[in-house]
Amino acid sequence: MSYEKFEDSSYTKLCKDLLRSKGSDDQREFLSYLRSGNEFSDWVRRQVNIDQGESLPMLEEPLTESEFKEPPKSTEKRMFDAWESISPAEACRVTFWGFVTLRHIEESRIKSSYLAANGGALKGGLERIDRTLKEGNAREFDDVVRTALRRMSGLPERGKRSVYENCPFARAWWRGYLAREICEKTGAELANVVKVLTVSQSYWVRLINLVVSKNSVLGDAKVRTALIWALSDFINDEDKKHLFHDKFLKQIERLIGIRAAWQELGVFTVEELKEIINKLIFEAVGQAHSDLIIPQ
Amino acid sequence: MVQVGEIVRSLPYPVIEEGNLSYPRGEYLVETTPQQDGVSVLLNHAVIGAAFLEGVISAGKAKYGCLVSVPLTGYRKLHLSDHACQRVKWDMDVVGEPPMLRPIIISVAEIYCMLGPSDGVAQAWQGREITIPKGARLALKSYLRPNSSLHHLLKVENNTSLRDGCFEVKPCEEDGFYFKVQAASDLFPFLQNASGHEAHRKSVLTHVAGRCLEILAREYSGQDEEGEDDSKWKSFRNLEALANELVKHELPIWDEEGFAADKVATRLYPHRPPEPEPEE
Repeated sequence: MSYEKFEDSSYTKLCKDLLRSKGSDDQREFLSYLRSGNEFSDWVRRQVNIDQGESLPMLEEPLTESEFKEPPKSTEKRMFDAWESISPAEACRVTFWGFVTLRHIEESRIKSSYLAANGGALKGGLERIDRTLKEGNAREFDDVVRTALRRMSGLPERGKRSVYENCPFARAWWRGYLAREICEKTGAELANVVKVLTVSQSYWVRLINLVVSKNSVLGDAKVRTALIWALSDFINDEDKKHLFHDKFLKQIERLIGIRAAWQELGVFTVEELKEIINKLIFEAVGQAHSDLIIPQ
Repeated sequence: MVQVGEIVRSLPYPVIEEGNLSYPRGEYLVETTPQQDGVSVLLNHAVIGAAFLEGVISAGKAKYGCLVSVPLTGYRKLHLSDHACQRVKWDMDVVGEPPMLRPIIISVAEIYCMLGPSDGVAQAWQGREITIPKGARLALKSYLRPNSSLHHLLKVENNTSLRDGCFEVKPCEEDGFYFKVQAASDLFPFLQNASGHEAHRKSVLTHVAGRCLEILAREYSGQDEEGEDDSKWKSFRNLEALANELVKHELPIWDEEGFAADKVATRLYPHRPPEPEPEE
């Protein structure tokens, strides 16, 4: 049996209505409820139906705002442990994660205002909402609403990449899922794989796009397993720090793409693929030196 | 991104694919039969007029295969088979939505040989010594894309709160995009099974199709606000397939000038008025 989640058409409508016009009354109302905390959940439930299913597993401890928006590795691990039974078919849905977030607001594990928080050391959610409601222009209203929807569930536009990139709960699940998948199929160390998956937000974005993009060069799931395994061997090596820059990942992606254009990499074992990828990594290092991506 | 089709034509071994004349009389045919369980498909691969390829398959140096992929959940798996009749199965909890399938024949070992006149290859290949690496695509078809017609994008459900004879169409952005058609209690069973009134049912579906296209024109014709260059609808796999289907019928897409939902719907699914009754 699947888990309960938002009903698709009514959640699609809520998002569409909120994003239709910048600075609209709908956006103002949404931010007011987001600020109010306890009324937010009732407001959402009045507009979005729920598809019945099994009750969702909840996190045991409340999260702080910074823990929610950028969870440390230990918190991400707790999240994945709590949600291990979720299937990828559910974990790719904005309707699923939207409802997970709502349930965690209802059970006081997070506050609704956290959804509006900026990244890094920028303003907190409450402060951002207050400033926008008081003196925000149409563009600022739209920005805050989009941030909140991305955090809540991810936005369905952009081929749903926002689910994997911006929704902290979904991101933690996908990192945990990929790490487990890689360690089960290889001799990789879990801690090192997790380090690769959490190098930086931009590195994660590049990696996850390789996994879920319809034009991905990683023609078989074994290739991504081998790639992340190969990278995890270098993650603690101070001399190999340059491997963990987005530009470098792009170089490797390009080289794998060239190889995959004439060869179906899925016929190789993960071990063979790791060897192939290691050679490509050294080739990419050579190219990066000549392109001055890595200082000599 | 590197496009497979652009590269393989210049490969140093013969391949059967669209636009490649390595085997002048060569054909790679694949018959696909979706199975009742909804999570598997039966593929029947056949190679005709390509003796060399047939030979390497018989020798076990190449295999029949099918790439199963769902970008949304990052699922990509190559299924290989020694037999021309191949059953490919997937787990819906893992793949998330109906996958795209690509039939393929792949070398599973490195192959060295000299091509000759009996191999069925073009003259340019004859007398040439070739090396085929492991993993080379020796024959391939295009991706089989599900849900390309508008009717495939409809999920009809019973809504007891609607008055008799009424329906409502709502867009849903999960599962690659679909339309939820909520139909009144009298209309719902009729849409499932028209029992002898097929023409009437088709007319109702034409009305539904018109409404779907109207929604696409209104809600899915702008630029993607999330900072990408693409139009909003291009991020939905099923809408891309539907757009290709409209182009195939030489009809405008919903974000193009000259698009009219009713005109396109009735071109795709024309009404069939009853034959006039003969005068007495």
